[in-house]
Amino acid sequence: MMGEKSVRRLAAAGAVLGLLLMLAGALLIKLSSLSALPDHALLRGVLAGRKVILILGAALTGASVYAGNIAVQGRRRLSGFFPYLLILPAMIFLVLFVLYPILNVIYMSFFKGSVLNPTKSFVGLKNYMALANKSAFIISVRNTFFYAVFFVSLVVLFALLMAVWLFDDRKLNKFAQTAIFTPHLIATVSCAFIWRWIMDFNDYGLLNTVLGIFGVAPVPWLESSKTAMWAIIIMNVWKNIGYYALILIAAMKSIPAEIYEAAILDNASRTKRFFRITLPMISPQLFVTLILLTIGSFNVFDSVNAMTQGGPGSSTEVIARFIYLFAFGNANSLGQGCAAAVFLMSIQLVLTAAYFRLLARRVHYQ
Amino acid sequence: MAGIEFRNICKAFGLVKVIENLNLTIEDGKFTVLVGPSGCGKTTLLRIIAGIGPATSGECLMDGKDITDLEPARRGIAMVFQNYALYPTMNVRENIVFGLKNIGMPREKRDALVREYSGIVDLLDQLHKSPSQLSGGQRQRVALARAMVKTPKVFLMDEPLSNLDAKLRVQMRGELIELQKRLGATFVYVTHDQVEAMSMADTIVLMNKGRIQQKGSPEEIYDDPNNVFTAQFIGTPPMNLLEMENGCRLGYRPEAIALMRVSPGAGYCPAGEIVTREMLGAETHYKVRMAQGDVMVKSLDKGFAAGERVHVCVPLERMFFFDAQGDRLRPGQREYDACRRLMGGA
Ligand SMILES: Nc1ncnc2c1ncn2[C@@H]1O[C@H](COP(=O)(O)OP(=O)(O)OP(=O)(O)O)[C@@H](O)[C@H]1O
Ligand SMILES: [Mg+2]
Repeated sequence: MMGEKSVRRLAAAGAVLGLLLMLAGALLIKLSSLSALPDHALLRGVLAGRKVILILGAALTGASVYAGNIAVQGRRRLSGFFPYLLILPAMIFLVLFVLYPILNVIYMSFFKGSVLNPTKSFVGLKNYMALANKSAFIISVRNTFFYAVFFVSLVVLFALLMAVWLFDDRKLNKFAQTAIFTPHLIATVSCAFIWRWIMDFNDYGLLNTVLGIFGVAPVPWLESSKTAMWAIIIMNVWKNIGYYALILIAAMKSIPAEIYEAAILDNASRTKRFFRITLPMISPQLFVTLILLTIGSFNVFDSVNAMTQGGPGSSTEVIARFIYLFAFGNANSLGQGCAAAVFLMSIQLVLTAAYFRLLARRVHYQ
Repeated sequence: MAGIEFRNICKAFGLVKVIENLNLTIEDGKFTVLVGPSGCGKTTLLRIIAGIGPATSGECLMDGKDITDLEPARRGIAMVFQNYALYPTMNVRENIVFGLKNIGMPREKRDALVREYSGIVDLLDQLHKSPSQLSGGQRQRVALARAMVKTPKVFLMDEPLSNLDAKLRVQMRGELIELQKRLGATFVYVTHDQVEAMSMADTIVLMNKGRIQQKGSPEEIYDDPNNVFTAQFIGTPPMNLLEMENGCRLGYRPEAIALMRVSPGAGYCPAGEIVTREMLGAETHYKVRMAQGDVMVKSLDKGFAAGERVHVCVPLERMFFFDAQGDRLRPGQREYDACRRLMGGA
C-alpha cells in the first residue's frame, strides 16, 4: 500500500510534469506560426503533435491535482508547497483571465495607441488628464451615476415589493413569478427592441396608444433628452426585477413560520414584522443583491447601445459606451478608453468598499 | 382570567384528519397538562388556542366568548414554542422585550420586567447575546422569559423544559408552579414526561391519535384509568395486562403485586418464574414469566433472585377489568361482575 506521503510526491511530480508539457505544447504552437524553421523530420513530427502535447499536459496536471486532492481529503492541515499546488489550476485561470487583463488595461492607459499597436508611445498620466477635460466623458459619468442610482434603488424596491406580494404559495403567484422572471431569460438586445417598439413615438407605440386612451398626448420617450434615460432605466428595471425578486423570495422562504407566529402573538403589526424580522433575516441576500446591482449598473452598455446609441444628443451616453467608442472607434485613443475603464473600475471598487464599510455591520448572518 | 372550551373541534392538514370532533374544557386558573405520544396532536391543539393554526371546523371559546375568529394578538395569550421560535436577529433582551415594546410599555417598566424575569430563568448575564450564541437550554429559557414577561391570561407551553438538565428542570418546574399560583393564570402545558405531568398538573388531559383518552386529576388518571391506553401510558413500569378467558382483559399495577414463595392457597396467586431483576435502590423491579404472560413487579423486597419460582398475588380490590375494545369495565356492568367472578370474587 502506498503511503500518503508518496501519493503526494507522485501527484506533485505529475502536476509539475503536466505543467511543463503544457508549456512545451504552447511554445510549439507559437513556434509553428514562425515560417523560418529548419526542415527536420523529428521537429516536424513534434510540431504535428503540438496540440496533443498541450492536451496531454493539461490532462496530466488535472489528474495529478485531482488524485492529490483525493489523497488528502479529510486529513490534517497541509503545509509547504503542496496546498498551493492543489489550488494551482484555479489560480492559473484567475491570473490568466482576471488579473492579467486588469493589469494590462492599467498598463495601456499610460500609452497612446490603437488596438493594433496599443503601446505606441508612453504618455504618462496624459490620458487621465484628457478625460478630466473632456465634456463627453464628464457627461457620460454623470449619466451613468444617474442611471445607477435610479436603476439600483428601483430594482431593489420593486424586487422587495414583488417578493412580499408573491410570497404565498398560490397558483397565481407561481404563474406571476414565472412571468416576471421571463424577461431575465431574454437577451438585453431583444428586450431593447421590444421596448423600442413599446415606446415608439410614431403610429405603433403601445405605451403611447394606451396613454392615448386616457387622453394623454403621445410622449417621445426615446426621442427626447428628458425621457430617454428614464426609458432605459425602465427597460432594465423591468428586465431585472424578476430575477432579484426570486432571490429574495427564496431567502424569505427560509425564514421559519414559527418566528412570524411568535411575532404575531407579540402584537407585532405587519409592517413591524417586515422591518424587524423579514428584512434583517434576508439582509445577506439583500446585501449581495445591492452589490451585484451596483457593479452591474455602472457597466450598463448593451441596452443603451440598442435603444438610443447614447442619444438624443448625448443624453444617454454612459461610461461603458465612452470606453467602447474610444478604445475601438477613434484612431489612437485606446489609451483614453483604458483610462476610462480604470476610472470605472475604481468607482466600482470604492462603492463596493463603501457598502462593506457602511452596511456589512447591519447584515445579519445566521 | 380565562377558561377555554373546545366544541366539536376538527383539524385536518389537507386530507389528513388530525383531530376529529374534540370537546374539552380547560378550567380557568388551573394548571392543565396535555400529555400523549408524539404526533397525537398536542401542538396542534395549542396552536388552535393561540389562533395561529385555526381549526378546520368547530368552535373555540375563551371566558365563554367565541374566539374562533379572533386575531391571535387579541387573545391575551403567550406561547412557548416547541422549537423556541426566538427572533434570530435580536439579542436576548430584545427578544424578551419585543412584545412589551409593541404594546407601547414605557421603558423603565420594561427594563424592570426584563430584569425580573431574566433573573427567574437565570439569564441575567446573557442578555446581550444573540440566540445563535446560546445553548439549547438557554434558548428555551429565553422563550420562557419572553412568554412570562407578558403576564398573559393564558400561558401555552409546548414542552418548555425538554432541553434543560435535570437540576434546572426541577428548579424551573417549581418556578412555573409558583408563577402560576401568583398570577392565577390558566396554564396549558404540553409534555412527554409523565413525571412532569403528574407532579405539576391540576388536571391532566391524556391524548392519543387526536382523541382525548381521559381528563382528570393526576390521582384520578393513575388510580382510575378509563381505558387500557391511560392505564398503560401513566406509570413506570406500566400496568400489567393479561387476557382473560372471556375475552376481557385483567390489569393490575406492578406495585399492587405481592410476591410469595409459597402460595397462600386462596385468591389470585398464579405461579411464575422470575426472569429479570432490576435493583433501583429503594425498590426492585422483577419480570415474572407466568403461563398467562409476563408481568412486571415493583417490590420493596429485594430478596428474590432471577430464576426463582414465585407466586404473583394481587388482591381483588386492586384489579382493573377492561373489555375487548380496551374500555374500562366498572361495577354495575354485567361483564364486570363476570370478570370479578372469574377472579374468585363474589
Ligand atoms: N403543517 C402540517 N402539515 C401536515 N401535517 C401536520 C402539520 N403539522 C402537524 N401535522 C400532523 O399532525 C399530527 C399532530 O401533530 P402535532 O404537532 O400536534 O403533534 P404533537 O402531539 O405535538 O407531537 P410531538 O409530541 O412530537 O410534538 C401529526 O401526525 C403531524 O404529522
Ligand atoms: Mg408538538
